[in-house]
Order: sequence, then structure tokens, then C-alpha cells
Amino acid sequence: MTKYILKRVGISLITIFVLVTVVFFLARLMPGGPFNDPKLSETARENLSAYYGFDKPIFEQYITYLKNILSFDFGFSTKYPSRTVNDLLAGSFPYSVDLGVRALCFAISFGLVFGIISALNRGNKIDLIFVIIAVIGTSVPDFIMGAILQYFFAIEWGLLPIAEYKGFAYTILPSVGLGFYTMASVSRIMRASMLEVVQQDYIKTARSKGISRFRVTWKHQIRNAIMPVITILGPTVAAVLTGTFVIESLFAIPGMGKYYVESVQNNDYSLILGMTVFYGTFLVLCNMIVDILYGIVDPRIRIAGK
Amino acid sequence: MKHKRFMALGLATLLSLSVVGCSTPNTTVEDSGSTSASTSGSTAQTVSGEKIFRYSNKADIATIDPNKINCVPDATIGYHVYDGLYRSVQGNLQPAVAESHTVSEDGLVYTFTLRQDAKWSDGEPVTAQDFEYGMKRLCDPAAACSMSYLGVVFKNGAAVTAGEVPVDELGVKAIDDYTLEITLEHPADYFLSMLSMSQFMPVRQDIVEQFGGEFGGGADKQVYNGPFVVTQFGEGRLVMEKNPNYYDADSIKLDGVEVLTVADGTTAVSMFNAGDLDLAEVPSDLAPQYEGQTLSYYDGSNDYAALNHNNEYLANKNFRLALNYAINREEYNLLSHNGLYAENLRYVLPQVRGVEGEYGTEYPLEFFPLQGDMDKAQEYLTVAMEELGVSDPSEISLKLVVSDSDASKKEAEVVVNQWKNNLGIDVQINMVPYATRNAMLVPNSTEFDIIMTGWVPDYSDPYSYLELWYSTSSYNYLNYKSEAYDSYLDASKTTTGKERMDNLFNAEKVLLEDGALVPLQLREVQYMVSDRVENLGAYFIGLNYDYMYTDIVA
Repeated sequence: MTKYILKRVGISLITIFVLVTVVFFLARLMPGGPFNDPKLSETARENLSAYYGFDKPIFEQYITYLKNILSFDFGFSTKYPSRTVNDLLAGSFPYSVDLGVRALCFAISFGLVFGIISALNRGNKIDLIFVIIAVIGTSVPDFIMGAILQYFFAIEWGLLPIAEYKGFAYTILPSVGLGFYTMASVSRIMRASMLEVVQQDYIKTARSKGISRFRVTWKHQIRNAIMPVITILGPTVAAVLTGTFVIESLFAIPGMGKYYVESVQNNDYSLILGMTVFYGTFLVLCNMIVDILYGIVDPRIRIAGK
Repeated sequence: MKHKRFMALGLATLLSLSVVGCSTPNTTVEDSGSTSASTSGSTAQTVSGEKIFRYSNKADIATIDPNKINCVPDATIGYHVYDGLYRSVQGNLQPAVAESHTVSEDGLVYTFTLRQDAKWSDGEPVTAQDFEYGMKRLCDPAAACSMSYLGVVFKNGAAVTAGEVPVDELGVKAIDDYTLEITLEHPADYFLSMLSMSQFMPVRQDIVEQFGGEFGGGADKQVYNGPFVVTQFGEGRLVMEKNPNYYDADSIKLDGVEVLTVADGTTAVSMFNAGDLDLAEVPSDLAPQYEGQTLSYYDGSNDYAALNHNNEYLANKNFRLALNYAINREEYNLLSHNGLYAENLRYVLPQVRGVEGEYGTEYPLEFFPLQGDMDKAQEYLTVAMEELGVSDPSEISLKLVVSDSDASKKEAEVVVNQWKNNLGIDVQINMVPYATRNAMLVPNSTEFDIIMTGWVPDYSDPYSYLELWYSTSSYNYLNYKSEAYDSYLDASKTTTGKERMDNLFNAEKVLLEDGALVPLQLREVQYMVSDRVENLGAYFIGLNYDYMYTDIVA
């Protein structure tokens, strides 16, 4: 087991290193520099380049950058000149995590329940309703879902606040808007997986042993059917927890989402790298945890890894 | 059996995660007292005894380091939390930290006498040394302030910024604690109005040295001497409170100001309607819906199609004039902006300051007809084609660069269509990201023949628009070279008052007679203000909203 985990950690570290290198050079290849405000004078641009160290040879910058990130120093943002990338991340990540965790709780609990109910009622009207919900959820993008929720629940009916993020009532609409897609996919995957498992021999064995229908469903069917859901959780957790541009912008939530778009638009090298390394590390970490979880849940995977 | 335990463990972890996540991050507005919003968003905020003005910006405030502020929303904060030598209230200069000043005969040396009761928020007095340090820091290459070019107005400003002479030789000197002497590079009537800009604010050397690069990166990483102090500056929110140390605190009615980041324009309008905001800008696609309920102001943006005079066709003056006369600016404004902007028939924004009053009133000019003049356009085109040796206008092919926003795309399409229909020339649209377009705005660029862009003035004077096209200016991406134009601008630097303004007006006329660029529109911002807000100003240079003396009634 230790060897398995060590191997996963090693692979993850290499992935992050490759990511840093590729993004570092790709960012420099983008047209225009970080100081392209037409108001800046030539001199101001030169001074700024020197201030941020962008005037040095690119390889030297790369080495300095690698050294700095070993001590978790991502430098100063160029768009927010008085703030370090760490400061920006530290301020916005809690909001994204908070929103993301709420969205996930909503998505997973409702998704699983919907999927299970749907599968147990296969073919009848209840199934149809849940299938329709799932299809809507997977096909309507979050900016439309968010806008619809906001329009009806906040603007038309005045049941919930329109925007901002400062109390439980404020979190409901964005969490549902953000989690709806995941909820729908979890429900679809769970339904399909439930239907597949029900045909397995061990279910028949369990039934023939005379175990009650409820116990078969609960202890055998659901537990085995949940594996594919765990598979999609790794990347989903990483994506949902590290911010979303659309929902955050729609509900005026100060999360990380906007920095992805802003940093690229502004060629904010430090912020682009900071965001990528942060997101990348988070994604790799989530996948690693999922891999390890597999190993725990399913011994066959653990053995194959040896 | 073992698996069951692991499953339970996993579920427990998930549950505990969700519990941890259920405490919202610290977003309460305790700092500003009782603005705690009711959970039902449809009811208005209750302001029990406290007067809090709330508005929003599309983007986060980037910095409150006065020297490094480089955009209008940030400068608006700077205006309200700092106090410079003079303060421009709706374009009228009021004494601020400076009680009075004298100017030498030659218009070069300004001596300011400072008031002695001005204090920083930590109780220290505001001294002439703070102004000297702030202005030197603006020009110091090591501080790398993006707006450092403003400092070229000081003696040696350009040389200091370029690192050619030491910072100590900048023409700013504190004679004693309350006397400041500023020497200019050349006489500049607009200099006093610049002193209201954030970049010219006093700065405390000890605070800068304490926080280094993070100076101005948080509410507690700076001290303030204006009518308000910043008490919270972080994700999506900047909160200001009235500054009790401010010498004129009695005139300040507001207890505080909350500036939110609301990236989505429609959300901001909904929040305004629900009473969550006291002011909201109305995006142009929503403007027809709110007709009659909005106010508007010129934000100073002057948009034009810039022509690259290095291009063989665009080097021809008659061809450039043909391009100018072929534009029906009324139709353009209607098609591209629902008629919400003002058509620009000249170059300089008419609202800037002239000799005594508005430049546009003192020097009226409608150079290009509102609906264009197709006959004139054809005449100029015919002459130009002869001069260029072109027999068919469709032989003339040009590349027009525009940034990839929806609004810019529409503008470009309308302009190009008018040229195609009215002149028969061939213009290709090339859309690029905003940052890429900006990178092309340098002299002698070969990336564009025509580029859709514009300029926002830094101070209220025609010179702020005109200085761009001086033949050696580093902003001259038109590659416009005119001896007459240069000589009028030169003359404006050695003259004052009406004589100087005449020179500037002549320069503007030369520019238009040469058809150096194609002026299109002056942008207007539509906004709504709550009835409970009194005495709010909107202004077009350096800041957008002036709520220093604003009051909240009802």
C-alpha cells in the first residue's frame, strides 16, 4: 500500500513540474505583454518590466520562478500591483471552496437519490420525470441555469437575495446553479450503474439466499453501483471547488473564477502561473486521492498497482 | 465487512467536509456597522441611523497605492480617501491641503503654502515632505509606477523616469514642513488641475518602507488623509468610513461607502431595483428599457478610427478626408449604440476646460457634418485616386484591426460598411484580443492600416488629447507628422491663457484639416441613482462618481 501511494505521489509531482514549465513558456508566447495599457509610456513599460524582472533572459526568469515556487512564492500580480498572487488566492479560495462544497453536497446527495429512485422505478412515470430533469441538467449550461434561477427566485418572486455572498440565504441559488450539472450527471451515472449491477450474479445469489429486497438494494446494489460516481468525483471536485467564472460573476461572489479569465486577458504572467499551478496541483491531488481511494475500496486495483 | 467500514469512513469524511463548508467566509459588514442585509433580497437595506452609500464596479479595485492607481474606478477611491494640494470638484478647483500658492513670472515655479491642521488617519501631520516623497516616487524608475509619464510635467520629470538623472533632481522640493516648491519643465496652465489626481497625492515614506511592495494592497497597509478612510479592502468589496481626523469633517454627511464588485451589469441593475445598491450603471442593451429613468455623463472616452500614415493610401491627405466625409456619424451612432453616445464631429472633447469655461463653448467647431457629405467624399476620393494612380476604388485594400468585444465588432462593421458603400473601397476586418490590439498601438506598427481605438484624458485640458500626435510622441501610432501641428503645440508650451488656448485650437484644426484620424463618438454612461441619494456628482476626468459631499435622506 505504501509503495502504491508513493508511486502516485511521485507521478503527481512530475505532472506538476511539467505543467509549470509548459505554462511558463506558453504564457510568454501570448501576443502582447502584461503592460499593454495604451496609456503607459515606453519608459513606464521598461520600468515595470525591470520591476517584475521580465527584462531578464527568459531562462533566467524560469530558474528564478522555479526557485520561488519551491517556497510557495508566486510573486506580485501585474494587474493588482500591490498584491501578491498568494494574497489574491488566499482571499478568494475560501469563497470558491465554500460555494463548491455546497454545490457538491447538493449535487451528490440529490444526484444519488434521483439516480437510485429512477433506477428502481425503471420505465414508469417517476423514472421519466427524473430522466427529464437529468437531461435538462446536463444540457443547459450553468450561465443559463444561474440566470433562470436568479430571475425567478430572486427578481420575480423575491424569495432569495439577488447577489452577494454573506449568509445562508445568499448561498442557495449559486450552489444550486453551480451544482445542477453535476447533480444531473451523478444521477444519470448512478441510474445506469444501478441497472447494470442489478443483472450481476451476486445480486441473484443474494436474492436467492432470501435476503430482503431492501437489504439487497442497500447493501449490494447501491454499494457496487457507486464506483463509477467516485471516478468522476476527482476532477469534478477540483473543478467545482476552484471557482467558476460564470456563476461567480452572475451572483457577485468574490471567488477565484474571475482570475482565470482576467489573468489571461491581461497577460498577468504571475497570476496566470499562480492560478494554473494552484488549480493543477489541486486537480492532481484530487485525482491522487481518488486513486488511493480506489485502492482502499477495491483491492484488485491495489494489487494491480504493485 | 472491512469494506463497509471504509465506506462509512468515506461518507463521514464527506459529511464533515460539508459541515465545515457550511460556515460562510467572513463576509459580514461589521466594519460598516448596521448594514447587515435582510435575508430576503427584495426588501431595501435598512440603514438604522447610519448613512451608507453603496455602489458597484465591474472589476475589483486593483490597488489603493495612490502612485500606482491607473484606472478610473480606483482613482475614484483615491479621490475620496486622499487629499492633495487642490481638489477638482466637478472641474472646479478648491483648495485642499494647499491654502494658497504663488506662481513665478515665467510660469515655471509654483510655491504652495500648506494648511497646518491636515492630519493622516494615524494622527501624524500632513507635511510638504509627504508631497515631495509622493511625487518623487511617482517618477522613480525603481518604484515603476505605470502612470509615471504624468510626471513629465515636473522639471527633469522625463529624465528622472528614464533613469537618466537621479530622483533628487526632480523639480519638487519641500522648503519647510508647510511650504512646497514645484518647478515645471515648461509653463502648463493645466498643472493645477492635475494636482487633484491620485498620482500626485502625498505619500508617507515610513509606511511605504514598512510594507514594501504590498503598500496599498490592503486597508491596513496604508494611511489616509482624505474625507474617508478604507476599513476593508479585499475580495469583491471595499468599505470606507468617514475620517474623523479630516479637517473639513463637518461637511461630510456620509458615514461610510461600500463599493462592491458586481461583474455582471444586469445583476447590478437588478440589485439596484431591489434596493441593494444606490447607484447602478445601465448596460447599453438594457438602456431602452430604462429610458427616462437614467442620468448620463460623458466619461471622457473619445473613440476614433486611427489611420496609419505609413500606409501608401493613408499617407494621402485627400484619401483620409474622403474616409472622414464618407462616414454618416448619426447613422453610425444609431446602428452601433442605439444612439446612446454622442457623435464626435471634432477631435477634442468639448467638455474639457478652456480659458474660463468649457472649451467647446469657447471654441465651437463642427468640422465634419453629422451625416457626412458624400459629394465631398467623392470629390476627395477622385483627387486622391489620381494622385495615387488608382483607377478603381476597389483596388484600394486596407486592413482594419478591432478588439474582439461585441461592441467594438459592431462599430467596425458599421464603419467598414459605410466606406464600402459610399466609397467602394475594400476594407478587411481583423479581430484580435484586447491586449493584442493594445500592443499594436505603438509608432511605426506594421500590424494595422486602420485601428479602432480611443483616448481618455488625464486632465481637463485639450492638450491631454492633442499631445498624442506630436511628431516625436511615443504615443503617435498614427505616425502623423505635421510641422504646423508641432509648432502650435510648441507655442502652447510657452504661452498662457487665451493665447495658449488659441494655439491648441489651431492645432486641433490642423489635425482635422489633415484628416489625420476619423473621429467617431464620445461615450456617455447611463446610470440610475436612488432617490434617497442627494448631491452626487458624475464627472468625466480622472474619476467617475464624486460622493464626497453626498447625503442620504429618507
